[in-house]
Amino acid sequence: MEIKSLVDPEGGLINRRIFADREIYELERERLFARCWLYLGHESEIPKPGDFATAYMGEEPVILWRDLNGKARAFLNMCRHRGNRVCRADRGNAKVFTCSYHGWTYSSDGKLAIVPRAEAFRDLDRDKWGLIPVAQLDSYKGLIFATFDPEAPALLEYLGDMAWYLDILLDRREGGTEVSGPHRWIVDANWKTAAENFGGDGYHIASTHGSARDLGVDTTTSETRISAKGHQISCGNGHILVAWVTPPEDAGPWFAQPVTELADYMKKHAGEIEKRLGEVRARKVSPSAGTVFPNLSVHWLTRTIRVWHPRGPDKMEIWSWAIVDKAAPPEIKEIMRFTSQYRFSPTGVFEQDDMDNWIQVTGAARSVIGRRYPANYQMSLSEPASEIGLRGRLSSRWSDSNQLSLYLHWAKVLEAKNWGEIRSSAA
Amino acid sequence: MDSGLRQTIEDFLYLEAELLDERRLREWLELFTDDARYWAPIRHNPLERPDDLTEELSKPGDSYYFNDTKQTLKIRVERVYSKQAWAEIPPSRTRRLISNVRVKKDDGTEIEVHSNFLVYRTRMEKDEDIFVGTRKDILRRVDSAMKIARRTIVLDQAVLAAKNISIFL
Repeated sequence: MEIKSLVDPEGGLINRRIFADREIYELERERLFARCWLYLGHESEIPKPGDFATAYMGEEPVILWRDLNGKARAFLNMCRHRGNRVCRADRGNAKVFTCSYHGWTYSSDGKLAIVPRAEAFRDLDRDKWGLIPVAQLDSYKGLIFATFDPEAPALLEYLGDMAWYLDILLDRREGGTEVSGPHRWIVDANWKTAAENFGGDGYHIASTHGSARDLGVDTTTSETRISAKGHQISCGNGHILVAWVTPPEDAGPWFAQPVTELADYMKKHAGEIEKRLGEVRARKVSPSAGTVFPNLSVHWLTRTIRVWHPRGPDKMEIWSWAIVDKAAPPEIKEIMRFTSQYRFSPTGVFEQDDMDNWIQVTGAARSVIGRRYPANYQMSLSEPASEIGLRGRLSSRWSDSNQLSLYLHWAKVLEAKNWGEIRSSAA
Repeated sequence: MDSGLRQTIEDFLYLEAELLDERRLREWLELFTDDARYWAPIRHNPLERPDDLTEELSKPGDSYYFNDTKQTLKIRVERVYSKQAWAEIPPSRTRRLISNVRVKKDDGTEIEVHSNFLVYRTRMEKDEDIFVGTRKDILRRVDSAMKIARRTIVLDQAVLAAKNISIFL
């Protein structure tokens, strides 16, 4: 299949098949989810040796496990013998995992430690039958990522300029962040509908989320919305975000904070925040939402991070965490968590209203007639980029530039036979 | 515990279910005391069978489905009556089955009541969700009326098999 032909950046057209086609989905599993760096969990979820949290990389079940020496590791949650899951819990602390089926037992470095009736096996070399590890694991300021591809570039290179923006959430205070959750729920929509929405769709907020805003619940301040000065920012490698640009008369790291108590907290710690982030990131830009390619999305202002786990071409499982400054006092942490979950979670007054949109966009991709007509990604208001030292490629907030760069990168990853090809064509 | 009290409480819980099923949400909100808390934890699968079931549930300081006051509940209610609350346009059709009502404690002012619920939700052409769990309520006698002072909703599912919870439990 010609994947590139499904994305037409000049015409601003996307073939709807990308949201429902089984063949495309299987290609995504092989070439995208088995190759890219994917988010596994936060350091604060596995603080002690032996702590584990089960997770998914695409549809692959994995165990994120801090080994008994304190090193974070991740393995496919699959006994090497017959394939049973060796861990059925969501989280906890374990020195070993013993498969329930025949009792093969693995230590926290993944080694096959015990095989009942080992003498009955023909030359069983236990060193060759350990848990299948991820190819690379690394963390960025608390966020643990892994990839099943040994050829993938280092995490920092993979994140590129996106890391610079992630700092605005992850590195405001000494000690970084901690998470609570995850909320987990199932939605009959293609995972990309959510990834593109968080990656730059400021356009949908007035219509989709009008009710919450009318009732005084928002993801930013009404002053911010009225000035509506902001950009879509494409960081390359498919990473995209949408950010408010701070008006000069109100410059400060409290800008755009949706809740008074959080704005006051940012004011109180403005000195520390500016020292850590520098002038541009503390005073001149305030990201709202973005997507780390392929399926980790972030909402800076309401403090949620979430993974859109694919569950077939027309289904996803959302895992969503609230993320707070570790150094914040308990009452501020609770305000941060409430601000997050009251807006974004299965009960969130913002997020509830997103779901049918994404379900029906996915449904349209199953429509024989609907598929004959491409989806419109032609919004492209031309306005000058802010000259304030931002990284990445800037375009208007009222644009589909981010979405198109997401899908161009997506197509590139699906067509490339290896990481060498992805890197050589990276723009 | 005397069965007269249980009957009074059952009548109250059935009335509450009726208000929700009939979408009389503003009247439903009036069943809560002004200092009410509305709490629904999330849950996880533990490695070992805990002696205390609540170990599987999130605690204050962790995540939750609901951690509302009457004021934040009111915003949720008013949102449903607003023009763009798309999760409830068209509205969910619900049927609440409330059962296994147990009066756990009564200090003369406040009564602790546990009950089980099965909420069937259907919406649009053929959306279907079933929310099942237990509720732990603190009911308070205010003047001659009964009010909900605290509600804890424990859903049985770990991964929610629904696109959202845009209704009240």
